[in-house]
Amino acid sequence: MDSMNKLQNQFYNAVITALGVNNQYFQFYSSGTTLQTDADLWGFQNQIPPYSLTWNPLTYSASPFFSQYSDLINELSFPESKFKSDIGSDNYDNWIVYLNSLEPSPTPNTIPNLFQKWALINCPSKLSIGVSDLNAMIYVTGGQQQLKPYEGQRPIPVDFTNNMTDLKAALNKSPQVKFAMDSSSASGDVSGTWTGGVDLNYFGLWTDSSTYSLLNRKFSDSDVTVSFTLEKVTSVPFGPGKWYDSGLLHMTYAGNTEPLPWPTDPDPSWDDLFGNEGTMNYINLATTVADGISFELRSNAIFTEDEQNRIEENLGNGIWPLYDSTMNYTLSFDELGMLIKGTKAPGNPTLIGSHVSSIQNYLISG
Amino acid sequence: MSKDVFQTLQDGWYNGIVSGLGLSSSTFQILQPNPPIIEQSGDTVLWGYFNNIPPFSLTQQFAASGGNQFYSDYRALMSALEPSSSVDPETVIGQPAYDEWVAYVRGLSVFPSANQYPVMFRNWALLNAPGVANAGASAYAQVLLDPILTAQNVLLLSYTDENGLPEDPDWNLGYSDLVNQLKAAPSTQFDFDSTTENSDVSSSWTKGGNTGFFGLWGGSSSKSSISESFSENQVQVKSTIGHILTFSCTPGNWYNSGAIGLAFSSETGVPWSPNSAINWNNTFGDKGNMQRFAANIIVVADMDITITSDAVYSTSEQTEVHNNSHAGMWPFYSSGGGSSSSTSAKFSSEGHMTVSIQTDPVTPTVIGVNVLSAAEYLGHSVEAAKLQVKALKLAAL
Repeated sequence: MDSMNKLQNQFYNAVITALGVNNQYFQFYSSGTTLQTDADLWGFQNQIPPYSLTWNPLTYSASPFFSQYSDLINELSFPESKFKSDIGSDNYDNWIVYLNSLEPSPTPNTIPNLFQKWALINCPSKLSIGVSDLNAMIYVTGGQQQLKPYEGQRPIPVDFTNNMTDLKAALNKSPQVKFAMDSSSASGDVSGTWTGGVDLNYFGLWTDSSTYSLLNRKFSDSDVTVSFTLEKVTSVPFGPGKWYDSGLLHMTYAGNTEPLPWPTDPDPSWDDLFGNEGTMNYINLATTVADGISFELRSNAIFTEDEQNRIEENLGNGIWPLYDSTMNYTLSFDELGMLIKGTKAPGNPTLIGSHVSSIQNYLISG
Repeated sequence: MSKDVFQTLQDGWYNGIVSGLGLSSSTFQILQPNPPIIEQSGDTVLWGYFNNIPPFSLTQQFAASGGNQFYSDYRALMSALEPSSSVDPETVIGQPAYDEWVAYVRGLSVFPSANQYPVMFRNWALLNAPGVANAGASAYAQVLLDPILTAQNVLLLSYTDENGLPEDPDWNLGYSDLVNQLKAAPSTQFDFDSTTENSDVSSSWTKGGNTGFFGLWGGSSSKSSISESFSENQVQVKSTIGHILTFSCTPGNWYNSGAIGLAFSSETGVPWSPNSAINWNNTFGDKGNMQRFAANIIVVADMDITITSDAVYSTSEQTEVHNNSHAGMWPFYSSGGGSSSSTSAKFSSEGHMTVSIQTDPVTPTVIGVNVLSAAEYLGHSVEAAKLQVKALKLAAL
């Protein structure tokens, strides 16, 4: 483990204790993203988190949950050809003639019932399989219909069960949290966490810097203390909006060895989404937000003048551990080392974490 | 693996509330958090408790519209079943009567509805084929009585719009029924002492499984130092509850217990469609999405709870509690719901804590749920379904 990794783990443990959240699901979010609108909030809730204690959106990105869900649901089908072969070609042709003769054309939800009464007299032995096939077709298309308002030229926003008004109300009732971490004494043991210690995707001292550079190793090997004051902090759970269908998603998740409703050459395939390297294996259950942030970061490393200049040049890109480029930073050096102060005024709700669940537990209430 | 200290307290509380409120450890699950249900959100919030599939744990962190929803799962299941009647009217009626009957129906200006077939056939056959009038009518009736066919028809015709979009589910009783029943529900009181309560939950319905509970205040970790300190020291609870009710309601017309019972009672073959990815194992098996159901909920009003903690809280810890008590405190995290609940904490000069939780006399607060396994929930229809499956399999031979 490199020293930056250890520092990050120490900070993760400090956050867990300070926020009173659980290390069996909490993920720290490092980018300082500010939320102002429902679109900002829902945009985050729509993201698929990485398998890591820290989520750095600048080094990890995945297609949003809705986008993957919609690609999946829209490729599902119960082919007409299957219905045709199940009831027999002649019966199928007669049924289509009958269906086309109806004025006005029947709506999709009435078709299985129409088939039922037609089949009672025309092919009673195919009634069961025919009704079943038509039900399966309508079921899949119903899931696709649920997505329609969210797609196309003028889609409505991909919504969740809360909005910025709810989040701000929760923040208003939330407490101030202060905490500090000293790398010389803090525990960096994250082996008992939900990832068993996997913690990826972070930078060095500033955004985009390599953890392996000489300067960053000097920083992370030094005694680092960081203290935070979060004026308001809260976690808000949420569920997906009306576009989501747990039964249909479960059908696709459970159906990794079944031909239907997956098409013949699915893209995405079950493995693409739910396999070991699948892109839909985790889901975001709650959003943790802080409003009004100030912090002090001290390091006892003595940086050269050139290094000091490089740190100063990159200050505005965002500094560990939030890497927030919208913060106001001050920087000073003395014989004790480096001191960076950062502040972000209240009125700028900032993402600092999420609660993560595996898709399997999500779908079976595990 | 040994229990952590907070789990010991939570397990003891589980036993305490089960015996104090006369509940059963064979079914009861504590719900957290416990925001009072206010009228504006009414039916939707109430039904959310029944629409949620409970996890396998003595405590559930409840979030409405979660990943696994009963109604949605049920619709998927119904799409995976085949009407199972194997009776073929053509065979029963026989030739040439069947062809004559078909010609008669085809000659009608309007196709009869499915429900009209048994009586229509009987009336026609009494004049044209009296020997099979009753047998043919029965054959049609048997096809139409198939519970899967009935269930699928109701879902499509009453709970699906004309574009194929599913409509919202309902249950037979709503928020106003709950409030009315709660007004007439009895009062109760019980005390709890962590130093004397047994924390052995190995004989409960989860055999001890208890995860996902909060710590000292709502949303907090049970492993935080202040939560551990709270749980390591004596905790006493004095509960006076003005009204307590076990509230049951059944799913609306979208739900057909005969159809789901038929599916549950037969692990393979009829009525499962071989074309569907959904099968008995991934529905009712140990990785299934419908292993358990919320049968009824335990609802209270007019709560007056006093919790005393013998731990000694430092000044900074007292500040921490004051800053967080708005989120609701153990064991009833009843924050939210406007002015219908209040939670406050006080500290003695020695640093001991007393927490007071109160809710108003009429606003319902859900504190738990009785969880039934699929076998128990569907039990009343399973025996009948087994007989039906047996008959269908025999008929198919």
